Amino acid sequence: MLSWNEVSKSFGTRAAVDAVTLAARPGEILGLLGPNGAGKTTLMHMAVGLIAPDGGTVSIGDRGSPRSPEARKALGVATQALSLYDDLSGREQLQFLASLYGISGRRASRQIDWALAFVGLADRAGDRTKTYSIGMKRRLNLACALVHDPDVVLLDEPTAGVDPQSRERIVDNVDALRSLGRTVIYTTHYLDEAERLCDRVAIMDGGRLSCVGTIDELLEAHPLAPPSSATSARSGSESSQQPARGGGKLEQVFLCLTGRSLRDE
Amino acid sequence: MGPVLALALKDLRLLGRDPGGLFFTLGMPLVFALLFGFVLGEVTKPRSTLPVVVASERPTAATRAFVSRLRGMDDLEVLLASRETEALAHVRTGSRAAALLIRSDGRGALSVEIAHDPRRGMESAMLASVVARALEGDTVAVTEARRPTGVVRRRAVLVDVPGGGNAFAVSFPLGIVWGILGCAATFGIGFVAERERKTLLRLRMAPLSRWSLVLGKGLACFAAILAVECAMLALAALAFGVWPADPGKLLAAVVSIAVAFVGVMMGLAVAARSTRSANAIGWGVLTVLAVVGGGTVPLFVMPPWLRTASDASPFKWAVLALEGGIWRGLSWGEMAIPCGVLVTTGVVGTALGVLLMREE
Ligand SMILES: Nc1ncnc2c1ncn2[C@@H]1O[C@H](COP(=O)(O)OP(=O)(O)O)[C@@H](O)[C@H]1O
Ligand SMILES: [Mg+2]
Repeated sequence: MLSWNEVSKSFGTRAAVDAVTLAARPGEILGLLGPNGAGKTTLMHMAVGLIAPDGGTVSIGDRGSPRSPEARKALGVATQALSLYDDLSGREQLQFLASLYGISGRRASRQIDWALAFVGLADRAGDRTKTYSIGMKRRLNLACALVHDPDVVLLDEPTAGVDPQSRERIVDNVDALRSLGRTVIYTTHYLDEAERLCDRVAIMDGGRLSCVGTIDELLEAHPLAPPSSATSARSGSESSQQPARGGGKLEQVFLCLTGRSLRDE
Repeated sequence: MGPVLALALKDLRLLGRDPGGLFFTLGMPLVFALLFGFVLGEVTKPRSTLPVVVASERPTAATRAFVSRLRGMDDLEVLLASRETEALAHVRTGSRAAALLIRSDGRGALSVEIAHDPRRGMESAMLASVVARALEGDTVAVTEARRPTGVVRRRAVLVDVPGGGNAFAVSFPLGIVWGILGCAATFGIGFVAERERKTLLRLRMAPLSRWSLVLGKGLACFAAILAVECAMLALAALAFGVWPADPGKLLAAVVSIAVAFVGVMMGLAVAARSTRSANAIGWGVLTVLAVVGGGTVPLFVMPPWLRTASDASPFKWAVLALEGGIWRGLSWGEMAIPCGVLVTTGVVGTALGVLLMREE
């Protein structure tokens, strides 16, 4: 559905993404995990045509490269940075986006209403976005990714900085996307979300892809560190700094693969 | 609704919700035009009586007769001082343009010294000729470097054009172009802000070509500039009696100016990395363009190199194009130069916007 083939991208001398080959299968939720600076956002930006790879190719199923505007119609993106207009209301925001995707009239209102209700913003839809809480902004950002009914949805840390209620809602929403048959690429630092949602996960570190597979496959391939050390790591003083938290088995695989040194970007 | 139109409407809606931006785009031009109108109204007034102070410390019959002749002259507004130092103080403090120090040699011959404010050298040259007229017949010496050397018949070139002789016909084009600079700066800064606030990411991910994205931005700016121009020209006509001599040419001017400043806006947007630098560039560089283009000091008083430099300022061409349609009575051939420069500026700026949008 969406595939990266030997894709690389450097900023100056730093390789943000280094020869990554990865493909999302139709209808799956593919988790993209990795510490800060691993290259997840860069990988996503290449998938949506914001950045041209230095080497390798990206293709959106049989639609071809995301550099073509027509191919991008199949993609819906919730960016890591909230990209919302403070002075537009939630509904105006979605109306504007729908018109960029060539959706208008009855179809537009139907899809806007659906997206607003889906993320639970129907009753605040008329208010300016600047009056929203972070949780509401994240949900609106998600609605922005969905309003044109895309086949592939890319969510870059869609739960960053939100309250538990909004997080629960967003995770439920992503789960619901699976039953709607969407392909989802999901980036998060919350490993419990990944465990709950993802059919497969890909773990990146330092621009390289460390492994891909179902959680069971990963556990099999990477025998766990002794349970005692994993437990003490979780309660250690570094745990608030480390991106990984809240996961069970997946967290152990994650730390085993990416190590314990801090990633201060 | 096409994506380009949707982009433009979104920008205009956001502008409508931003009181500061709205003021800079719509309020400033008015302030500028009125300000320039009143200032230029003073400068270009045909009468222009010159305020002078006259001192004659040892009055004689001859000096008294001469002073009363001076007071009878239409061109002068005479204040009398008893001492020369007092008269000079008036000039030093700026309350009078010049002091006329009148002395008699005791044998009936008068000498008049004109001590003028260095800032008002031009007026003092005129004063010398007025004094010479007042002295006609008397045996006198006028000590002033710039004594007129011959009779010059002066006549304004465009007196019979509607609105000609109206200071607002001169000031409104300046005010309008100043306002348009503000408009372009506001949109340019908004464009940079959109990049900084990451909303541009969403636009670039949407199924739009780079051209439509840039054109959408440009269209909003174009519409706002047209609105400013039309509102200001309507005001000039209805409130100040400035009716364009040639509406067709004025229309050509209005449209090519809007195209040009869309390009200026794009140039600003691609040159600035952050909203802070956009602000600095917007208000700094655009002000320089305006000053160089004759927006504050008329071009004819500039040194020659600066006058040459002004050819690079769209400000100059915009003012010329507007004046061409309002009162200069330019032919289509003559209009083609400013309009051509303006349209080229717009096209180059917009193309730059598209090219540099490719990679952030
Ligand atoms: N526009 C950019 N310019 C320079 N370096 C960048 C840019 N974007 C990302 N990087 C660098 O590339 C690396 C990967 O970043 P990113 O993809 O944002 O990681 P992640 O999303 O996994 O945290 C980081 O080292 C980051 O500093
Ligand atoms: Mg990221």
